[in-house]
Amino acid sequence: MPESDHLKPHPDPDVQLMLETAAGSETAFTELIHRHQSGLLNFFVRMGVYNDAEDLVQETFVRVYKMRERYRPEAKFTTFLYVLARHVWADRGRKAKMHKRLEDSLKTDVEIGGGMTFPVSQAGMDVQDALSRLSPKLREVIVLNVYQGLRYQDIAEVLKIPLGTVKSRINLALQELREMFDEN
Amino acid sequence: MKTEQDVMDRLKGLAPVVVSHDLAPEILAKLRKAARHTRTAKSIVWRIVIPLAAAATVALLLNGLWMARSVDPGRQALAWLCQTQEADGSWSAAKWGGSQHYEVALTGLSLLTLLDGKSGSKTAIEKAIAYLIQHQQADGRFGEIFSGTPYNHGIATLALAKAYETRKDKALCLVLDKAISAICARQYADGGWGYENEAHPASNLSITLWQIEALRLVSKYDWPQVRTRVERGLRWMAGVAADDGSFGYQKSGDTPGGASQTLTAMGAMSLLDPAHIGLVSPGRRQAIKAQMQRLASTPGPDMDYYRRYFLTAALKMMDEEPAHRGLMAMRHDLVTQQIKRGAEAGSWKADDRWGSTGGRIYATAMASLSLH
Repeated sequence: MPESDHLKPHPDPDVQLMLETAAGSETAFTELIHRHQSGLLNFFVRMGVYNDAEDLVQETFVRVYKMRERYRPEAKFTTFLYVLARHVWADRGRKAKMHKRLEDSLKTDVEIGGGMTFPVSQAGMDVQDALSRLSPKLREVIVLNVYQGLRYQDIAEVLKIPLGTVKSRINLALQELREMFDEN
Repeated sequence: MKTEQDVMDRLKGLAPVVVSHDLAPEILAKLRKAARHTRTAKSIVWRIVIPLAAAATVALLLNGLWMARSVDPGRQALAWLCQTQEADGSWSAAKWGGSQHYEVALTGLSLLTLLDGKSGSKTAIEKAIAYLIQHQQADGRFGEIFSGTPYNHGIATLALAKAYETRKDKALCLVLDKAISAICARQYADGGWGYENEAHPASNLSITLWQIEALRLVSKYDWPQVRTRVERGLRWMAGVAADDGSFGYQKSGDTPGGASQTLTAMGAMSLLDPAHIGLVSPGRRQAIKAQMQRLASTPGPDMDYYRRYFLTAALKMMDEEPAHRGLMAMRHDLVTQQIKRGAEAGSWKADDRWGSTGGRIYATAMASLSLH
């Protein structure tokens, strides 16, 4: 039984595309991928994933599709997207740790996640290096805010932490980054 | 580096990474592959597990060891609805995850289900009728007056008309008189109906359908004069159909919110009725049927009970082999999704796109009506 606005186009194009995806439109889903694939790729790269960042982008969209029926237009699409992306990133971290333990037990010398696929400038590498030296908790608030353009409130929803914690983590991260840049 | 702004500027100076190629084709291919695996697993269930289970069941029967009694999903749904009816005859929207504004419509849908189920409790039916009558306003409309009133009113009128079908009660006749007048008074010049108190009133297919269904039913009894109203409404509806047999919301091609399939099923349900065969050209009628066959073979990725209700009703009117197959598949889906155990046994979970409005009562009533 639709309410008055249920059959009207949603003002947010992402939400509209997601609703169409949930209704079975492959075209709408393709459009969603086109709109967010670069943003997601940057998210994973800034979070320290190099070799298989595009695989993680694909995995995130597969999860978006699988979760399409649970999506409610009350939630901002980017919040929904980055919650899933963060889960994908965390799962990849767990798998990498397991892989590492296995490699250690076999006494091999395989480097996990080494070797950058994406070209970055020297200055860029410094920033990327500084980001990678932040703890994951501090790194993710910076990545979501600076590179993905999420507001503090949206970050709080993605990470399921209080707004005040987001602000304090951002301040702490900026302070640590300043010290790192000053050292150089 | 002096300020946080300097740090921010430096961070922002990092050049964005660009995707090496469009990832969409690979993602879609992965999803198709996963869907194929699911189908294969289902096929194994159908081709091997189910025949084996059937053979085992027959063996048990032949040996006189059959102990369990099969449960009818329709009866289970009716039992759940009877259990959840409130003392005043209504079904609570808030208690079951719906919007309180639509309590009258939910009670109407539940009453329709009980009447349609043939085995609904007479007491529950009487209480629901009494509740709806108590909630009729002086101007004939049912429930509170707000933008969504036409849903409450159309569904409640339809349910009471269905009740009138068997009892021809004089008091109910007077109630319906007022309700029908209220529907007729709100028909727009173009033949359709829309939301209450809109700044720019416009007919829409969803609201128009419920008013037409109510009028169409009463026109068979003591109100033949509303047939012209029904025909005007159906002509408006035919006007929002496209050449390919799909229907729009306010005009042809207008399918907001990804509701194209639902709208098409609604339009088909009304216009495929043999009683109104002259309202669309044979070519358009064929296109509508083709849309229904397509929807029946791929009824959508989710359990949208609203869409499935109209799709089922449209397929029932087609009386063709692909339509029968579609009905069987949808029935199977619905039975699979019904809650089988616990306090909510017999109901359906309200997890579709209208679930936050109608809640579990809506899901159960719509799914149950689709099963009949």
